[in-house]
Amino acid sequence: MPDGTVTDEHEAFEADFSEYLEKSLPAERAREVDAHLQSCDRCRAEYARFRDTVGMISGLDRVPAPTRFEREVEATIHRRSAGRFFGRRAFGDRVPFELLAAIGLLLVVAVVLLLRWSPTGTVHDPLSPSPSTEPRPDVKKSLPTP
Amino acid sequence: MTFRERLLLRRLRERDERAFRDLVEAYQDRVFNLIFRMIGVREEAEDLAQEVFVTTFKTIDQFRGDSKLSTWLYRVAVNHCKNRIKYLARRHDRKTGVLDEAAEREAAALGDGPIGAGQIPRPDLAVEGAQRDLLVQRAIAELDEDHRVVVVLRDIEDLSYEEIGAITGLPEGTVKSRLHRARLALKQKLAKHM
Repeated sequence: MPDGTVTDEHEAFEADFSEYLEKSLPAERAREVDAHLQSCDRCRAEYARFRDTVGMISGLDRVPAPTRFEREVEATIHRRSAGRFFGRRAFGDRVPFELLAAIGLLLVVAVVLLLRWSPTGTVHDPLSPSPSTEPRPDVKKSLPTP
Repeated sequence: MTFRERLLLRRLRERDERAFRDLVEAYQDRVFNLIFRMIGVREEAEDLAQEVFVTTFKTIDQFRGDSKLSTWLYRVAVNHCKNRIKYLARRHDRKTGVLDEAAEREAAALGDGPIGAGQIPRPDLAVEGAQRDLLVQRAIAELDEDHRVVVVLRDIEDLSYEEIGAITGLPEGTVKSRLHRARLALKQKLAKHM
């Protein structure tokens, strides 16, 4: 049966396992632990199990939040506060300025392209008679003579 | 606290809905993982993680900004976890088997079917993959909440002792000694499966 002093010595080394594993022990103490682990089968085996245990814990897979999580939290807040939880939305939040600006830009580009492709530089078809150049019907001639 | 965090905090205090979404998006996985590893049951973790964000947003005015936003969020999460662990323990006392059933469902969800402590069909394979994770998870769940917190924050969330001290309100020396005791206890619990 091991005497108390020897057991205490093993326990003293075991007490330093965490810091030894994390390499945060003072250099001199780390050398003592090194030397003890070289010479003590029991502590070497215990340390190996300790290191493996910590490795198993830190090796656990990370579990992400469910995909619907964000929506559910928001819905919970809205439900509990009857929609009064969040601040009143500013005008800029309610009107989709980014979308309106993009649509406006597309319209400008479309008009510019239309003008560029047109040979006359206008949006009118040059082959179709212009309403201004078409001869007006003679109103007097068409009237029945009394 | 970084400049970006200060901006986010200001928007949160203004009850900006988009700031809230940014906060949830940035921290939901970390908070959920912490809670899941603390509680060990997915349904409970989902419910609790929601409560953490609701509480965070409701009490954002109480946050003085003297620590990182993530530290504060973790603190809220840890406090909720501790309360829930106590509540579940009481419920478990009254209604034995509820948590065990939930844990079995968790095991089934991992794809390996239910296993019970001491009835592992292939001990040589038990330390691999999902079963190994389940064994570790169960061993963690057997720790008392004070030891569970430090081991989850340090060995799973990989936080510094300083951050853990800020979250738990414990001196660094106490964090280290609790962590060491928790690791020794886990070694003991997992020894038969190694």
